[in-house]
Amino acid sequence: MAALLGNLLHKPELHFRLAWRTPAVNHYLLAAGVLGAMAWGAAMGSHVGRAHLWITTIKMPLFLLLTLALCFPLMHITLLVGGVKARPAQTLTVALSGLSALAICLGACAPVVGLFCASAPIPSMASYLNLYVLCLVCGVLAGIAGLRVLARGMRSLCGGPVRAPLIAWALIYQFTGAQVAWVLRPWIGSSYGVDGYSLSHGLSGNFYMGVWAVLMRWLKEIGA
Amino acid sequence: MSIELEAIQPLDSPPPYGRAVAAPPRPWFTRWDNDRYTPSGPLSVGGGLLRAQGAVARDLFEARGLNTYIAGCGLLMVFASLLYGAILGSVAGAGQVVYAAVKFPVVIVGACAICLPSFYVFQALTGARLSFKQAVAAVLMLGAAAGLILLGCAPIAWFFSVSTSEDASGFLGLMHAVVIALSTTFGFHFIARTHRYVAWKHGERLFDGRVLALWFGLLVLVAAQMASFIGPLDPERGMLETRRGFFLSALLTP
Repeated sequence: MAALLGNLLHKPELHFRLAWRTPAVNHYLLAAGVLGAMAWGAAMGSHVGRAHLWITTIKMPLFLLLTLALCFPLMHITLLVGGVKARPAQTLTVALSGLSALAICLGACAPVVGLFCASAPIPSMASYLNLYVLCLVCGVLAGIAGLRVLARGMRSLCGGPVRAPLIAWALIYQFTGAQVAWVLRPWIGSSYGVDGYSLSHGLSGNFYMGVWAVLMRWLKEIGA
Repeated sequence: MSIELEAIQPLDSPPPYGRAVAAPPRPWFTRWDNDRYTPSGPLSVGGGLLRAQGAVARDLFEARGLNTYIAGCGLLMVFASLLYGAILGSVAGAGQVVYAAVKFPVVIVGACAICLPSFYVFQALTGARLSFKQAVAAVLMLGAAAGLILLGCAPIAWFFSVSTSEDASGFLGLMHAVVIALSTTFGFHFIARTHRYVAWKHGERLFDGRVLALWFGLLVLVAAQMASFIGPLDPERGMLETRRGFFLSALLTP
């Protein structure tokens, strides 16, 4: 497991060369990804604490895997259409490798984020926004690391340029992931004392409609 | 005083006047040329459309295994539109799922059937080397390729349908429109590439490119009018109830 993670982070080319010969690698990637995501979830949940801590710890790997499950058919089709002749198991290995790299990076940031989350004042909108920005920065960095691994994985499958399928994968995962995250919200937890998770709250509205409403309100306030 | 001029030969001598310069093959031409695929049955055709498009294009040109392709592409098109129709219907409530699942394939298959004669006749008129069976297979391949993208998008579309509250029907409508437009464009893209690949490989035209583009516009218009006439998303209509009217006026009327 340690060797696998070392290869994944240091030598992605070697990781993929070994992965094509060892089908069981997907289990290890899944385990590593789930552990990293749980650490990150626990860090975010520590802001509100209590039940929110373990709920977020479960929700974070669920978020990554549910998004992958929803996107996988289209991602595989995109790869094939883009000229990368991959079997579904190979596509899964590439996707899980990228996702695991992302989750491991998030897991590595978890202690820092956890410290800030646990020590930030509550309820406070300012601290909520600061934590939001901190999580966003970590998420962007981890996303770049994940994309880097994905690109190496695709290149090891086809040997040629992979820009188009890589961009398509990022867009598909981002588009769906935003809505999955919306359904599973709250993440950091409300500064106003909302605790736990409610499915009816999660299923209300839509991420993109929410962004649109905020944008409209903002534009109206600027115009006023 | 005479000066002897050394004869200078250009490195790449230009082609004789009037002869076109042969363009180097595009990377996807060589990729398609290396594709190998033998359809083992109608259910394997989807794999061929995704993994070995060059082999499928060659089979279409050489009229090889067309019965298998027709059966496979037809099945794939109907199944994909049935599944996506059910997802479309789920936006308007559980009762609409069955209606939309039945009516959406009727719209797709009906539009293809209505446009098939015009495809064959106008292609033949413009000198394309195409039998009627090849025309049927080509139209069904377009539908099946589009259906594959619909199948790929189905889990995402379903998730957005179930996780979005009813007041966001505008967003869902836009999302479904984008998905259907993307899948249809992919279907057309496949057929257009088949045309270019065959022209490059055999120096013959399986289709006429301009007629193909115009015909695709006609197919989109017919599908829109069929959708307006049959109304797969209209919860107020019964299973066999149709409504007269031009699709543009239905789109523009709030």
